[in-house]
Amino acid sequence: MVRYVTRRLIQMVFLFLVFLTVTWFLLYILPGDSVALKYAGNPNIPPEAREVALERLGLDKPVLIQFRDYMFNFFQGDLGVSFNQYPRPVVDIIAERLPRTLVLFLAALVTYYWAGFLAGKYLAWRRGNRGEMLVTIGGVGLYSMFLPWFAFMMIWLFSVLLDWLPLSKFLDPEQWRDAPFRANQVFMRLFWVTLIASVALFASGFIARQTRSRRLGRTLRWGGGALAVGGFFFYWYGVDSGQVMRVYAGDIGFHMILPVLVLTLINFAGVMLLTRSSMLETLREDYILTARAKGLPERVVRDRHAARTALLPVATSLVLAVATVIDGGVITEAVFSWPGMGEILVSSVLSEDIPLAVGAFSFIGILALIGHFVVDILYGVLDPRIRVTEHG
Amino acid sequence: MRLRTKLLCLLAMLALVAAACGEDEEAPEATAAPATETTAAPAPETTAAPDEPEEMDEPEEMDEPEEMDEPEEMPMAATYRLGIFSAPTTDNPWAALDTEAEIWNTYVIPGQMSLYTYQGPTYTVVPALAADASPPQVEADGDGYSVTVNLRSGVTWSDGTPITAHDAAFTFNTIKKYNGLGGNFTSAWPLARDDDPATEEDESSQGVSAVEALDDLTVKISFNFEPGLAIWPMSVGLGSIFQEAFWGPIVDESADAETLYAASGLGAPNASAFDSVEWEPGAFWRNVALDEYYDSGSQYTVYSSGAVEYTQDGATETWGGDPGGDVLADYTEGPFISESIYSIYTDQNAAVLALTEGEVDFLLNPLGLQAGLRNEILAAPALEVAVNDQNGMRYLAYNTRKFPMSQAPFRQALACMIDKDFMANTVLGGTAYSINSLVPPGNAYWYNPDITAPCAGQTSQERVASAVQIFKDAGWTWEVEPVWDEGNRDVIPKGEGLVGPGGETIPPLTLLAPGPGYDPMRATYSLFIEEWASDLGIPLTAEPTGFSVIVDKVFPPADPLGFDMYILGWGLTPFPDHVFDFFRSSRDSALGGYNTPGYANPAFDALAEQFDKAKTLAEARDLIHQADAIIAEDLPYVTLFNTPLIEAYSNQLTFPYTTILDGLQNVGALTGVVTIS
Repeated sequence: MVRYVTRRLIQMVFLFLVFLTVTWFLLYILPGDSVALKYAGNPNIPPEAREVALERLGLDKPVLIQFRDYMFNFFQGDLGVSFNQYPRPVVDIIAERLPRTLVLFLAALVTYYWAGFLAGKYLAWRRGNRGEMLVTIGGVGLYSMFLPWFAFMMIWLFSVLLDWLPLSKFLDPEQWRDAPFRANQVFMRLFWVTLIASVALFASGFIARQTRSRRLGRTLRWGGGALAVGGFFFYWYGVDSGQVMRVYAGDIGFHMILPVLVLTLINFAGVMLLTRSSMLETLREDYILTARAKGLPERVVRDRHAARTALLPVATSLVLAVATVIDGGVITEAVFSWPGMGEILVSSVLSEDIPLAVGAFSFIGILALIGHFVVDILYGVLDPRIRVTEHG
Repeated sequence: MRLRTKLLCLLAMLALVAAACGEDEEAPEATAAPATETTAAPAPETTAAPDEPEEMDEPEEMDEPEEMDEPEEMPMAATYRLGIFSAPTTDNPWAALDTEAEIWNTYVIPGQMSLYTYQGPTYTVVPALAADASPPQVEADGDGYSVTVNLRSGVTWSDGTPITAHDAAFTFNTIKKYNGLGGNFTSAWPLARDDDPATEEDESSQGVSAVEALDDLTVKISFNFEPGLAIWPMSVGLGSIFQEAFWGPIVDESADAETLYAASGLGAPNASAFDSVEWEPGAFWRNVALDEYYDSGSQYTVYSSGAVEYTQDGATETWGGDPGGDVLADYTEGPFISESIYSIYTDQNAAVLALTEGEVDFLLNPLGLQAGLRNEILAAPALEVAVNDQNGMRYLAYNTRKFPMSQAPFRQALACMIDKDFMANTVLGGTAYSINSLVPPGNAYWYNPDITAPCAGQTSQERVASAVQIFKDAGWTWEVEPVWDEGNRDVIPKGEGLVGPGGETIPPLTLLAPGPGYDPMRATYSLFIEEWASDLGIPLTAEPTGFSVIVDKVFPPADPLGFDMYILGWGLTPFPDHVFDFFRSSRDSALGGYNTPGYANPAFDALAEQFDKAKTLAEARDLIHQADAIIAEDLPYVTLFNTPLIEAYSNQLTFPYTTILDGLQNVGALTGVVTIS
């Protein structure tokens, strides 16, 4: 196992180098350059200014020198400065956008995976009834929906017609007037508090599952759940730092409802169908028949024996989705005026802001590599049949 | 487990909604009630004419609660909510004029001072910091030239300190310290590159050699050449001036421009009626109105002749000639709002929805709104629409460095075939209007109404006949001559085997144009031009091309012969020196300039040199008109069309004027004078 992990880590480093190099050169060979694109069409900027800008950004140097300098700086932790937000460091820009993207898309991801898994599990279990057909057709219909159109329909319904939810953006500027925090501080606080509550919730469920006493298990499950939920609310209502930030966190959460709902409705069917097919396959296994023959309750057969095994491809897909969550969703971000990593990727490539684009892509590359690595390890943990042996 | 999870989610959701709607007793600043403030905007007249400055000091000096009982005397109470389509990229006003010269930064960052400024809606150049109604003349001074400008007293920065000649000198010395900086500084404050007087041939070294404060209210600007109108006052006179007290220490500590640009400019003193106080990246920017703005209460009357009557403290001055014609605007300087909040909408449809739902009062966009959204906006009862000319043009450029584009008859014949009115009115469905001159009609003072399109007013049949005649007169021949077939309403047969007067055959030509995804109008135009060229026997192919690819080929060209024709557009400035910059041979794009066609005409160059030395507006206008006529005849460019700029705003807003070249967005949506009812 250790040898396997070491080999995979070396492969990842090599692959990342190749990825970085290819990305840099792909962006470099795009026609034009950042300066020309910025100044074209503006006769107010004299040609001399272009020369100054090229020199300032280092674009007047030979390509290999530029690449060498970039790589040298990159591995010293310096991702350079953005050409289009000069002289802002790329790391600062990514740090500004990342929390927004993480909070929105992780929330959406967890929601639609949860909804999709539950729906898939029930569909497989109650195969053939009318509900299955309705949910499947509805889910697939939503899955094939054109996202911008659907998002605008949802905005029209919930924000214009019903006036329940905000139109777009991630905060209400008038509510944030003179706010003592930056939005990113609130995003990060939201992220950590929710993460801790979720981990507590998961841990209580996990420990409860390991106990042999049913009563103790139930106590642990409910007690842990109550603690996690109570802790979550206690933080926002009982702790000074949470109280001060609560109204702002609430505002962000309020603005998240509609995009999360849209992303969930659009995406849950994919997970649902994946779970359903995986579950159907599992239900044909002999050990399910054995479990039933033993007289175990249906719920136990479904949740403990079938769903657990059916979880494998869903968990794999989830880990890979988490790894790529930081590229956000360009369309979702645009429609809901939620400028995050997706917007950075598109705008930096279009404006040939090479340091920013490569910086953003490198984050995605690193997370994708880690995601694949985790999936490989996870497979072995979840399914003993795939466990790696020394013989490889 | 499932029930618990659902419960948790439900509770979390409810808590967020409750928290979002609830008051936060721990953060009193955030609980101010903007909604009630919005309704309390007084009429502008209540704030006009601060005849007694002592009265203006009272609110700060007196603590008595009685003051609070007179809401009608509070001058500003409303929040002006504006939508912008892209996030600002800096809060540093220096960077916003150089590397970050983006319109979105210009919208939100409060303006700096300048000696002279453009006055809307006529774009007359009027004094800002300068005391003289007309810019003083440049005079010979030793080896070079200089101009001495008297400054107005009582003009203050947003922090209340006076703006002096020392600030102007500091600004120039800062630019000099960083070797001229870049971007707009290069044109606004061109730096003399050597100490010797510059020669006419040595344009690159011509510039400002020194700016000195003779006293607090007198500044002397020295040049190493004799500048014409385009430099003084149209560049240097309009150049930004920064406050020495705030920026001086930062400049002292900044070894390079990068360090200077990295400094935050949020809250830095400026010369507008607002202070920038808050920037939430990706979400909004907020400026608050000054308690005391030096120009508050001044009265402006703008005439269609371009003249401006300015009244402050009972004294009236007249700028820009004699008042005459209609009164285009008559208003009192504000501000009449308490703050302006710029919210970011990254999707135009979402922004329009926000406008129709009353979430914002105005959408700021240099391109205005899509024509397709116009009906939706007009249908909204609470909105008004302003439609203005854009100061810009879409054009077809020929590469005159290579055959056959080097031949004027070729350019003229193809231009003759282009029916601009048909394109604008029929093909583009009236969403565009044709233009013929290099200065759009909306720029009234400089526009030359005598310029007409090639073969204007002719039918398709007549155009074909005219184009054929142009070729024939110049000695061009066909194997098969194009003929108009009246029965089919088409050219049958099309021309074939077109050869030049020296027997040169035409190689396959390419017309680069933005694709339909980028600009469907120009893409459509290119297809029609291809068809018209084909009628004449010109082997032209319209090639939808990425914007960056076209830019790469022509600005500046790695290979000056690497393109044949292209279609692009320009955004222009009120002072139309672009007419010369785009076509004088010394600005050939192969040399780094904007003369992308590589046009070289000694007569035109001679006019350009005269323009460089022109000292009066009338003289400059005459030269612009002559130059425009030469280009309309010689056609290195064929100006094609322009689109109107459509802007929508809440009917709660009252502007002193809405008709202005480039729309209200070009004057920052008039935050300084708008009133909100």
